[in-house]
Amino acid sequence: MNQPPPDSYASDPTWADLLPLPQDDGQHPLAQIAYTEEYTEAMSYLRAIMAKNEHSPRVLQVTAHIIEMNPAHYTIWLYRAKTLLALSAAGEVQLGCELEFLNDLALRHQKNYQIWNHRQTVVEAIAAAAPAEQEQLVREEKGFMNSMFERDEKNYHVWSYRQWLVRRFKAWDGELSFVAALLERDVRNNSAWNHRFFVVFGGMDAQRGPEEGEREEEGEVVEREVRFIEDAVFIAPQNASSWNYLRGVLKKAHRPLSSVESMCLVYAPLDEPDKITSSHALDLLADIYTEKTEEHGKAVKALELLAAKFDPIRANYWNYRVGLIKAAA
Amino acid sequence: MSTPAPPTLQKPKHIKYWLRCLRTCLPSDYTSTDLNRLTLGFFCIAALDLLGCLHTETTEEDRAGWINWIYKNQLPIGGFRGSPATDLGKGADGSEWDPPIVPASFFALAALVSLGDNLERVKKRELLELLPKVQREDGSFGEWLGGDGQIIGGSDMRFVYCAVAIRWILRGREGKGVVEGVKDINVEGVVRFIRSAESYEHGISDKAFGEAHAGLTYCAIGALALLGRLHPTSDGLSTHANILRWLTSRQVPSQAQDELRDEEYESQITNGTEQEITAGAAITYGADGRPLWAGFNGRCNKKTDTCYSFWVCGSLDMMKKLHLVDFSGNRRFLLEKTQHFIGGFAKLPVPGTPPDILHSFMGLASLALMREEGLNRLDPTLCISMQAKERLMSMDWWRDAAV
Repeated sequence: MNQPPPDSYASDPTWADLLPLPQDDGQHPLAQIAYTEEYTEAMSYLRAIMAKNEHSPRVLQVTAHIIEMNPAHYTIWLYRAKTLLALSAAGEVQLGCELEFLNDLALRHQKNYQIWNHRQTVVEAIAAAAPAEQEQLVREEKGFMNSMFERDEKNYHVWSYRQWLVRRFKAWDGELSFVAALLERDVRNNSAWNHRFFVVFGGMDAQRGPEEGEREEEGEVVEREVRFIEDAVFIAPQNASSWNYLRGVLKKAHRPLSSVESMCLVYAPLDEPDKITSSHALDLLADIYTEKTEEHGKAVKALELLAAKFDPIRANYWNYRVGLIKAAA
Repeated sequence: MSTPAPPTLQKPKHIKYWLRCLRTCLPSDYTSTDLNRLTLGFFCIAALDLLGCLHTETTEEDRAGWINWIYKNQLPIGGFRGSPATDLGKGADGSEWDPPIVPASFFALAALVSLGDNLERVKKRELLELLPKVQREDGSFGEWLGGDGQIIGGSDMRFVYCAVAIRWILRGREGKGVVEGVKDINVEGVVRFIRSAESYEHGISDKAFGEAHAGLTYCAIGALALLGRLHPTSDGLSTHANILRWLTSRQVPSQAQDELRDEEYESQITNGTEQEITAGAAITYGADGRPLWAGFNGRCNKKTDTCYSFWVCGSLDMMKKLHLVDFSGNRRFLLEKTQHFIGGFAKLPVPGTPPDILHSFMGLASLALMREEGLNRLDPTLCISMQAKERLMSMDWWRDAAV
């Protein structure tokens, strides 16, 4: 579909009719870049063809060529998308091939963000053209994301795309076990924890009718999540991700922080500071004890332990919290 | 353990670095930023402004030339293109493929103000009219307006910040001045969108259920500050206490915990990585028990990176809580771990990483927030020097409009 780039646009018959449009950088330019000759020439032809607003197969050739050199060229992606959709409607290209092109690019340009935006457009178009094959499409998309995650399990764009895909195609099945497997491999993968929150609570919201209240089984879900967290904390007490997730679950379930006091005390026995294994448990205890005036002494003790020994980088912050408690007294 | 001599900002080298960026071609590695030339230009200008030498190391003629160049990238329909690379020539003015770009328009205005321009030639009405057109129903903003009126670009906190900053610069804090009769953006929509993007960790993400991210958090807090909605009672955040915990938690020893087991992590924090031990630069603690080097990460359990020293400190400064971070750790992280010997800052505290424009600016900006000697003060909200901001606020049209 993407013809390989010509050695030179100027001497290629496909491009002979176009007058290249050179870049006018003007006087006193800022941030001038030493472009390669290859980029300079391809861009001149891109400008020329964009000025004509042409949507022909050779647009795919020049856009693929430039994207390879500069995948963050934002207008080019939209131009390419419009051309693709026009050609696909005319039966001249298969949109499936575009996904292969994107797979290859995404693997090599991990930090690029436009690729994923474009991918949404293409996947929407494929799904609209063949509704019966959506399940297969979603399966393949998830499969490709797995190869992205093999390179970087915390790629923000891929996670963001995955949320879109799951929501768009109601593809919630299998997500919980997928994320559990990732956490088993690395319990500190905060992106995976975040996705778990999305799957459990976003999924719950999405599958519940707008008028429907809390379902009975939702209490069980919260219990399951708390058990999952307990296991994760046992493996790595000093892992902020699981403690943050715990706070998130409790808030979502409208449960008080004090409901996990005994768990916190396991990792942060205030009376035996030598046995404290988690600064996050101390932090949570401080919040629990701050809520009750008669326990403010314990809250201050936890915060002072954090400032002095267990998290001294944030000494200023912990002391500030002590100050808030004392000001409230 | 003894504490090494205090680090210093190599000011002459930074000045040289930025003048080189301004006066010579950037290497072809910058091709992937070709469409963001106005943004890069802003960083170069603003960096020299922070270093206090924009008006001594460059001539009147230089600055007038750059100002004209920025205006050359203003479109007849208002707003700025991101780069001359999309300029399709006279016949194609207004083509859908050479549109005004929201972030580029913000950076153009910020660069113009930093250069001492009075924004007289800015097509203010047209640019302000663009803003509600690129705002979506959910309150978020796109990057530009497509040919058929479609809003283009992902739902992204960066565009929210840039759009709100353009509005503040052109309309003033109250949002009612400069250009009478122009339709305003939906402010409540912006606040609602930001609130929906606050994650369970209480940082801000790209959208509901996204992962909390310090760069996006800076954009959200900046937007709220510019809208006058960043105060503890009626703002777009759940509570300040929640977000303060998340922001301060971003500061970590320079070798952050990432894919390590607890024992390995603890051993590295205490003794340094193998690489560092070999290099004789084991992580050590100062007399107060704090790690000597402590930069910031952008997400929980990620590594430190120069730019987050700005995104996090800038967010905290807007909330008037910058004093809660460990200044010394951040300063030493920047000056000893990422400051480059040729000037500028590298992204990562890894030997051999070259400096780049974005991180070189962010490193300076973070130091400026902490009042580093030899740097001008930075306004955390607009990301320009205090002097530049005051110049804007004292322009006739701005003063008249803002009342």
